[in-house]
Amino acid sequence: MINEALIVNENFLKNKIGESFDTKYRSLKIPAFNNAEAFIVYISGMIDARVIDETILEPLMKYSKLPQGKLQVKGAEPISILTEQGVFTTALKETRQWEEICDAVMEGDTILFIDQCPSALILTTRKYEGRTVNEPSIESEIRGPRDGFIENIQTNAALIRRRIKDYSLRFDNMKIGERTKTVVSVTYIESLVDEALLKEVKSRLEKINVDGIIASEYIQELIEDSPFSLFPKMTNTERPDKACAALLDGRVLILVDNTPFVIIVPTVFWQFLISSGDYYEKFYLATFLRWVRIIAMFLSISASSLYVLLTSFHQEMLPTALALKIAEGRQGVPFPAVLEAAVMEIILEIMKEAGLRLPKPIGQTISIVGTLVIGQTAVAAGLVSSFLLIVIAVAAISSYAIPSYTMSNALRLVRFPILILTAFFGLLGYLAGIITLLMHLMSLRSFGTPYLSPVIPFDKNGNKDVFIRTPWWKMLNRPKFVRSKDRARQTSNLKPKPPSEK
Amino acid sequence: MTIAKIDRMQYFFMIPNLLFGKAIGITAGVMVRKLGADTWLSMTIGFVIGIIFMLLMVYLCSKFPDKTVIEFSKQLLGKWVGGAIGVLLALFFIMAYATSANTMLLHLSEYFLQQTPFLLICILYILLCMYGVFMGIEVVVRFSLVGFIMSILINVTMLTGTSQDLRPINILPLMDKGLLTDITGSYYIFGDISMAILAAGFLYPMLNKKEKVRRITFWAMVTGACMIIVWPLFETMVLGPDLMKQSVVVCMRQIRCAQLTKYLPRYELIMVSFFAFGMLVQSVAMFYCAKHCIKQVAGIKKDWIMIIPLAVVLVIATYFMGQDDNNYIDFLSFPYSQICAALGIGLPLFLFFTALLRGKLKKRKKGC
Repeated sequence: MINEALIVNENFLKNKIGESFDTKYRSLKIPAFNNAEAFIVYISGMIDARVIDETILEPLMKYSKLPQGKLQVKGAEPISILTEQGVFTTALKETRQWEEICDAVMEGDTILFIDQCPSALILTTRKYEGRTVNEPSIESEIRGPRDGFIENIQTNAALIRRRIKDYSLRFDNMKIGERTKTVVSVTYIESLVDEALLKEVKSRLEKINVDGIIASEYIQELIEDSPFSLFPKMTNTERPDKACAALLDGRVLILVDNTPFVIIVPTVFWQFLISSGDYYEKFYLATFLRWVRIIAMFLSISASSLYVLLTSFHQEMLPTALALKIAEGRQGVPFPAVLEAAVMEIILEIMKEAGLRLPKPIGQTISIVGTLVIGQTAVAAGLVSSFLLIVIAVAAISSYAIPSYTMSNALRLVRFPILILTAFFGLLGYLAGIITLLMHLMSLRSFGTPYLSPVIPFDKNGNKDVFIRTPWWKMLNRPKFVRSKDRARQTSNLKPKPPSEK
Repeated sequence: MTIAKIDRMQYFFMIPNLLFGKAIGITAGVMVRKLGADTWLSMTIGFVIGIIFMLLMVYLCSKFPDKTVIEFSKQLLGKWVGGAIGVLLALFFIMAYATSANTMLLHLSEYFLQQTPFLLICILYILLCMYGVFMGIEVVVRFSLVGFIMSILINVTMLTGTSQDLRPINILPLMDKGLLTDITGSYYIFGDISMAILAAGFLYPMLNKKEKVRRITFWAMVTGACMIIVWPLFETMVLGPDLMKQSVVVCMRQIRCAQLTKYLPRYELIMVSFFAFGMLVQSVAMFYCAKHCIKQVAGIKKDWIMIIPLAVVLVIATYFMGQDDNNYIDFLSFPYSQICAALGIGLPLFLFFTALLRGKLKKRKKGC
């Protein structure tokens, strides 16, 4: 509880939050209250100076309508008068709690203390420097909206509100992190969301007891099912349109302050193969693109393993002309196929990793050198076969055809054990790898939802938006696996018809 | 203890997987040596009989909906006799696992991995099955959809690839060995059907809804039977019974005759890749049932205590059964098929009459 004596309060605050260069304690006298002593405190980099000047200091200095007979400054009266008379045009809150005051200062609010008053006023003056809303960097689409989430949770909430004007849209905030006190918002549409799912999300978040949350990925690791699995059981998105579509399915979003990535739960495997752009194209093209991605996923996992399988174990399975061509390419290569493939895969990973960190101006040069040295020269020197280079390149490009970066990374790691198993056991090794992977995927759940839903377990309605993207007028229900309260998405008979048939 | 739950559609897909793998190549090979061109007909008769006993088993299970076959045997016959049935079933499932695993391993060791030591292949396959059992029956049952789709794909590609080589004259004259021989010889298929009949005694209590299960079982058995019978029928029409008799794995010989296009001159790699999925469901289901039997007989609660020692037993059983192809085929001809027929037919009948005499069949459950 704060003290009536101004100096005690000031000393307490200086002791508690320090006197750093950006922490400002500004003393003043209020003419309206017989020049009563007062001070304001704020953190300079987190406030809007114009707001402090125009909506706090100026009204305070000019205010002169002191009620008759109230010349003595005593008790909480000045604070109450300022509040009741509407002196400040910014949002405000009266408080006596130090914890609330300190939290408010840390969040960029300004606190007004007046001598002999046992309470203080929290005045909203927050303004953070940050990016403006711009196009998402890793989820860009050819068509569709160009805005993306940013680091400011308020802006992100507004981006959602602009799209969904449902009265039952809810943002339930909590603060996580003993020291960072990061604002985390559980967002959902109350009339759609499954209560059990919501309860589970909240309970997992409430259990988090860490000192800091810097990004949404921290939350993800702390609440994810099967934490040892390579595969992501939650979706991250930078796209407000994707997040809103998830809300309309009955899912829950987790917004984390200071992170442009919003978490979507529950998540199923197939979501990682679906791109927001699928809904902005004709459904034929969207379906075709999904199959392209499925093939790309298969190739990214299997291409190098199949190369080893066919060249080292089962050459007889290749058409003769192709087998001869591969054999010709491998002539003079001093390494077994598996070593050749593994070394090339690792070199490719090194190039990818280096490419991420290279400064832009030299990135291109290094790429060319890398491609020429590793590619052409290695083939010319007879260290690797040209056919293997094609296989490795196909696998690498395929992994980037998968819309989700996190899933693409998981698949990058999966292909190494499959390659090793294939190298030792041929067909049996390859099948063992694929079957183990499938069984693992089947054992996973995301907040109670089987990871391979709606394919396994099979749900006919849910499959309208997995391997094929049916037209909007056919997607009458929300996916069953989300367990939404209101399954009906729209009325039937929405298929456009010529006027004569109506 | 949480009881795993499986839904009826998954149960439907599971049954053809339990029947398919060994029946299409190995059992067909065993039967053709006894019955010649009538193999497919004898198999059909076997399936008709098998479906009746499968339905009888499901009927019995519906009278004890939350109990496994061991648990209701104990209720009907007392702890000791029920326990003895449990031991018998555990031995059956161990043996069934070994035959099922050897079906897959024979395909691999005979056609693809001739130079890899059989024991190594055996260990890797059992490790794979062990992983499935660790994951639990729910995962295995979910996997059965993949197995079912793959089995359909094998059938479609086999039919497409061999349709131009069909010689219907090979199956004539029908009932060459006489109808009675075809009927009496049909028990060989019980080496496969018994796996489904006896596994149903463990799967039934796990079903989340028990309405219409008999109907689902019937159609699942019919689907499985159709998927299987087409193989000896086509094998006989393409290869002829004399050539079939000379092969250990008849389906592989059949597949070698299939050429999808000139770009897929040798189709067996793809066939075995598809085949492995369904085969794995059968093997893992047998492993799981063996584990479940031992758990219930011995009263062990924790799975992992059972799985690792059982895996060692299965490696030994599979290795010794499969290291010599001829011994393996001989074992399937005698006494394996006879034991399976005795258990698959005898156990449901025995339990049915016991339940009838004890008045346990009077109480009717709605919708089952």
